[in-house]
Amino acid sequence: MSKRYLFIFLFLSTILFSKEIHFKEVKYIYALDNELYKTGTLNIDKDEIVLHYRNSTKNIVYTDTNIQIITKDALEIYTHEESVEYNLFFQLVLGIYTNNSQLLVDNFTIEKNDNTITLLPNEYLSSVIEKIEYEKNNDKLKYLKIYFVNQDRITIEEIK
Amino acid sequence: MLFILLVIFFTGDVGKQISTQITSILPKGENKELLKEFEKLNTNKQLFIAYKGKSKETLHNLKQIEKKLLEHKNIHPISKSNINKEYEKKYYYLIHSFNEKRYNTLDIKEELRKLHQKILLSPFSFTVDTVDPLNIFKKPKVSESPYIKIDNYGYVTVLQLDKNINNFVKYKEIYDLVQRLKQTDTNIEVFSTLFYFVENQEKIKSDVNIIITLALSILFILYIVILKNLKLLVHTVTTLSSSILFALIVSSVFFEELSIFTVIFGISISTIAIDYMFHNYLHGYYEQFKTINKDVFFGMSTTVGAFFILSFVDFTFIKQLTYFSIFALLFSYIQFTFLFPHLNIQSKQNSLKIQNKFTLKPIYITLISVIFITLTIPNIKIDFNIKNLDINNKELQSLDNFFNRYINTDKKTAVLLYATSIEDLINKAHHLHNKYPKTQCALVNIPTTKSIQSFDTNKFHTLNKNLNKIAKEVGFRSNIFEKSYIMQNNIPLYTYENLQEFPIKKYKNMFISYAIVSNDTYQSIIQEPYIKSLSFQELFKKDLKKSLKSLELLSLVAAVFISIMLYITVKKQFFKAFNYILFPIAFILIVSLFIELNILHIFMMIVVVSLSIDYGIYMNNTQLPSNTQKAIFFSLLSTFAGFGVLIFSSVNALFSIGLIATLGIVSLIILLLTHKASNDS
Repeated sequence: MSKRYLFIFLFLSTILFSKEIHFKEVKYIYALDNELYKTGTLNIDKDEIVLHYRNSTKNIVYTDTNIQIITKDALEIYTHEESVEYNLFFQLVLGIYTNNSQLLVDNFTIEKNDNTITLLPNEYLSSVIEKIEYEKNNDKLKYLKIYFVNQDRITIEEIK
Repeated sequence: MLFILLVIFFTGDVGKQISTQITSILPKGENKELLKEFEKLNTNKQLFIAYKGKSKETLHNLKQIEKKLLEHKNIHPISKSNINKEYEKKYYYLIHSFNEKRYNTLDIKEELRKLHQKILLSPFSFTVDTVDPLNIFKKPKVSESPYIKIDNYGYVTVLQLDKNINNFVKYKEIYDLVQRLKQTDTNIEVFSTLFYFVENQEKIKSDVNIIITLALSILFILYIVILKNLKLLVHTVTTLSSSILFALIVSSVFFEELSIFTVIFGISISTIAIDYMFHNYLHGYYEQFKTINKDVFFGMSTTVGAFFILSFVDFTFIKQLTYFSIFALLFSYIQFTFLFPHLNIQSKQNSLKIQNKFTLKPIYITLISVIFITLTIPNIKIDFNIKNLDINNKELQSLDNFFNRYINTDKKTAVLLYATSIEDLINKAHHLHNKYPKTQCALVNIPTTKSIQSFDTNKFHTLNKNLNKIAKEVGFRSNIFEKSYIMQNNIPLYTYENLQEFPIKKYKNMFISYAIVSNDTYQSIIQEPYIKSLSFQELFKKDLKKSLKSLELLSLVAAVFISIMLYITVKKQFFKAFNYILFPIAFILIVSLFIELNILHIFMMIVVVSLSIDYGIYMNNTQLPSNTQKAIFFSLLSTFAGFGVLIFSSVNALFSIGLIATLGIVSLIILLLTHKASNDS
């Protein structure tokens, strides 16, 4: 009996903590003066986040201890320090979706203006990122804009 | 008188001349001044922070600590852009070496295609290096994440301290801030080399307090319990205090700064003067209003004379000590001889009796001493490492090693660069960097005139044209490489004013800067003609070796002087009295079988000899040996209170003094107890 309850509990917790987000991404690359369009999904679980872009064979998995890049034939594992870019991206996603400002204050100063939240990078990140802006509508991400020092720009919007 | 001296001491700011810096024992001169100039130039002061923990909050916690530290105006992130980076960007093609081989085999189209792919596949944003997109210049090391993960420990990071953190007050401010943070969280470890200055000063202070308490307790037992004469204690303490103040004031006229070691050692040395008082006291000079005791006068003259001879040794520490000792001893002697008979001090009975149950013929003592000296002298090793005299701060040393293990794999040392012009100084910095690539020197970010002259402008103009043409074909923005390989900036002016943000200082008719070199190349680097060592130990060693000859010669002169004085005073008893020199030396030299002798051991031996010669004179020239024996015993106890207690110090320099003093005192007690009296009326 107890095993069955435990199974039901674990199953329900997985559903409760799990969240699948569909998004579209527009990346403006200044050096090429061009825009790249992508769509993808983010699966936010209690223990991991999985990022997958449509038409890509890659799954990028973020866990507490590492970042894994999984393809059909290979598995690459990096520590958070080794994969600085993905680490920052997932920290942002976690911070924004779980409303965990602790994850953001380590790297940014948070400014709130009406519904828009602006993240100003710390000294270390400021050589790469100029600023980040995002707006949430209830739990849904309206937009996330990342402005880079090299004039690149990424805009992410949640879609149904 | 004590009051007047106190007023002079405080109004004359004599206290400010007392330095706890170990450099204060270096002789005044170019090396010492350069060492001080370097302290002002040094921009390489860092603060290492570690946070212990295995949870995912560890990095966050470290960042929070870092944030709190960064609130201090003189603490900055290590990545903060500075003048070096600005210059590096401006004069990139002039200060980085050109890879001719790569340039000659370069397929520009292929390189740009690869770059294009990289940009497209980058998950975030890829920053194109528009300065050198083809990688034909040697790239500087890209800064890594400032947070280093350490397996089974936690995270470590480094912060930069402002160059104006250059005095003790500012060091203490940073130290206190760190201590406050450490109190809030036990998982934090913070280290900076500046902490040695703060902690060592605190340790010396607490050591001095313990030593003073111990010395006073011994003196209290001696005067109150054994001599039962409180009045004598009060007058003696007042006399010694005024003598110390007098010596401090007069010495401060001769020296710009007095080492804390001189002060502590000088205070101890001044207690030798107690034996003048005991002699007069126990021979009834104060009750009978007598002034000059011939033996005491000869004893004092011999000691002061020996110090006077040694004061010509060309070594600042010894000079400071001998000056201090001469002034303190003379001032005490005058008071004990001419002032005390007028203070109405009555001798009180004391029950102490020294019995010589076991006596030795003087010839045996001479023989034993000669054998000991002959056996030990060939094994004597001298330790020139000044660091061994400093405080053994094990806690900080282990923290230092901990951070060194994770952050700097190589141990590094600073060296000084000097030249007669700024242009030449920059050339030399480049020469050093090219010869020893591991060397870090801010000046290598300034181009040399040679590199400016040899830059082939036409070649790089052609490359720029080709690059832009092909980039357009590959799909890059049209103006992205517009400025690549084109020298945009004018040549910098090599003037002091224009380059003042660099660590360059004018010193006399030279310009100086510094470089941080790896320890494995240090020995070859200091052979370069434009390099000077900034290692305190090196400088100390040099000065010490220079002084060693004069120390040897003057010690010989002092020995001859002592022998002459001895012969004049004791005549027929000369060899008996000479045992008072030989035996303590032999006894002390036993220590050289176990440890290497340092400069303080040697100097302290000379002091013990100067002291024991007094006793040689007293014991072999007296009409009342039992009273003289008592006087010597009491003054030995007092000397132990002054010198011997230093054996309990954790400061190696003080411990060395205390060790030799204690051995000297023990040897003198042995001599005293085995002394064969010829008469006692």
